[in-house]
Amino acid sequence: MKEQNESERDGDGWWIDFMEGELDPSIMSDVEWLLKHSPADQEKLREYVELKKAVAESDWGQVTWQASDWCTLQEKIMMALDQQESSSAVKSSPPIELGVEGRIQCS
Amino acid sequence: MKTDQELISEVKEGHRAAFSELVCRHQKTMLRLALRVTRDLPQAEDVVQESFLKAYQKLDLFEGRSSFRSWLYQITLNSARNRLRSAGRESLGLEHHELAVPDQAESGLMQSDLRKFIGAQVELLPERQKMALTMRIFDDLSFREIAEIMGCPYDTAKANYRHGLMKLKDRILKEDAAQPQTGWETYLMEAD
Repeated sequence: MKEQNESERDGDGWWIDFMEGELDPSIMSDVEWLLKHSPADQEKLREYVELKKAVAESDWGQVTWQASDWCTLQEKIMMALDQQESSSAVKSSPPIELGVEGRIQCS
Repeated sequence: MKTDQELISEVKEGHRAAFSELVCRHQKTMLRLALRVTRDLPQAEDVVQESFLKAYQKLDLFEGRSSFRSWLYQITLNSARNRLRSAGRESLGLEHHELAVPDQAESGLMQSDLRKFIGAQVELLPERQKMALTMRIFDDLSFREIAEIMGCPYDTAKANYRHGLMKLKDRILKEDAAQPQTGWETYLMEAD
């Protein structure tokens, strides 16, 4: 067996790394052999795959919006951006100066 | 389809429609993130709006060393946390709170209850494991992006994810062993 690596020290870490495509290449052949010949290890991998799927389908932090709701948020953001730009333009517009005769001139 | 970097270049040249495309592309991920932190949808919307406006203002400072998504993610996370802080709500973690879980002695966990239960268990994970896990599973971020956002080495980001998932599995199995006819084994059998 290859030298112990981080995944192995974490117990089930191998299966998670394999699932995520992050397995150390030096132990890939060993892990693939286990997956081919060990029903217990096949089951371990399957459990993590299903757990990941279950987490993705869980209620945590889900937003169930229609497409129109997303359009509304996008429009709201762009309108806020317009307002931000307008007020920046007003603040940075050149000062109005009074000329010699007291008339308003733009500098 | 244009890349984020191409759209950013167009925005810097004054093409605001390109920024609208960036908003469309990333608003879902950012709203989910903001909602996970604030736990209030109207506040989360405000956070997302504020974050995109900040990103637009600071776009000249974005050098492209990280992905735009992870850069925006960091802005959104900071905005959401600042909002909680200013509202006097430092953390909405449930670590010290009672879980509102259905009475399992009577009914056992059904499919929708299993979803709620798993969601509640995710919430209970240690902060850094929860961050890594949710960024990977819900937001589909790469480990490189996760490491950038968390400000940690790549291997640490992976380790946080790994430990979070193992802890989650451990807790679900313990619950499953403690209760007759819980949802987890049924879920696994039906997944075949």
